[in-house]
Amino acid sequence: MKKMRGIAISLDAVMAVTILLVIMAVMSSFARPNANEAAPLMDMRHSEMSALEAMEKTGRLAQALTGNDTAVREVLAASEESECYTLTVVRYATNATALTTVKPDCGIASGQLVYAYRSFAVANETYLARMAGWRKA
Amino acid sequence: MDSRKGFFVSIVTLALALSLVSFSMGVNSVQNSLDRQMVDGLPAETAAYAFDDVGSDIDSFTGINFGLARNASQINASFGGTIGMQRNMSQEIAVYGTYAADYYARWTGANLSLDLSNLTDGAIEVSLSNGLQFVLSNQSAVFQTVAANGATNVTRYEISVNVDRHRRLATPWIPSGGDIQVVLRYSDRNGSITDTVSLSSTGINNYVIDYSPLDSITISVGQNGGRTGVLSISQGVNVTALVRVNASINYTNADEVQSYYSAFMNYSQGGVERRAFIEGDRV
Repeated sequence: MKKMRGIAISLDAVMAVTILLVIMAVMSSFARPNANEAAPLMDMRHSEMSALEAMEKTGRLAQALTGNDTAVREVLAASEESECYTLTVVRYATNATALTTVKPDCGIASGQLVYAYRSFAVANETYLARMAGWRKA
Repeated sequence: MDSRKGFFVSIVTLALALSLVSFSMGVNSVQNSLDRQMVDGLPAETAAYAFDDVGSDIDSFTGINFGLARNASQINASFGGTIGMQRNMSQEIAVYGTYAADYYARWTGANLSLDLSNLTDGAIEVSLSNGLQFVLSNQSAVFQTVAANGATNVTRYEISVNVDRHRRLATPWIPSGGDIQVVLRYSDRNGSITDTVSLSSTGINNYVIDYSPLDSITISVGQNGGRTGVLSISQGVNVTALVRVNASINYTNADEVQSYYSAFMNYSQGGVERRAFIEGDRV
């Protein structure tokens, strides 16, 4: 009888661990991006890189630092409806945030974030612009 | 029997704890994995983007903004900058090198280093692959060829100069006729000067604007250091001038021409490696 109880306890433990591992494997497969999921995110990163480059070379980033971020907001607003972006500019010398702008109707960032960066200089000061993108739920 | 039960419970607890730690690490690595996939998926763009990014920043610091265009028989080059500046550009560019290798590289996940020694020695050079070169220093802005006894083959210079001072005297070029057409648009607190002349690429032709007995701007077109068709805009001793130049250059060679700063970048990210000068336009 004691032997049977021992076997039951062992089986119970093995089953518990097995079930846990299966649950975690399933959850991991949802969390880990596969090739099909990465493709649209790569497109999003490509869009961010293009937008940042354009915003630097047209002077929109520099203008936003003067307090007028209308031109930058226009770029974010022109992106696809299903995409959300936030733009943050950090001043290198002080590591302080100089600007934060979010695309209208996007709220707080969620899900898989896609980042792109662009360095630019204004009045002999260096700044780093960071765009974070995500898909609307 | 109790000790055996305890043993099983301990083993199960340990297995659960290890599984949870492993799972947490897996989830945390998702963003890193995705970043790697996106870099791997855009290898050419990622490297080219970084070089363009750094090049734009150097352009901003120097104000040179070197541009190239081309038609069947000519290259048009545009460039500029400020001479007689009241700031230490070499120091600013050196600080930028630290920023790029440390801060920028950390945020972008790249591994990069910049050799800016040729930009922090007091003169900034933008070179063209056909041997032409623009050199900007605090004393002068010079467009020349690096070939000894060489010719720039420039047929036309359009020169804009802005100085925020009152002029004492202007001594213009003596029109001599020649193979280079020069259009000068000069402005300072006295107003604007526009002068269009033809000058010889082998002559020595100077336009001098004095601001005080010691302070002046000299614009030279022609022979310089054994080279011909050279443009030199120099200041002495303490005149700040904003300069912009468009140069039309005879060029019928089929070879591509490219501009690049004398700054070298080692870049690697996600298996992508590139070692090259900071390039500009390619025509």
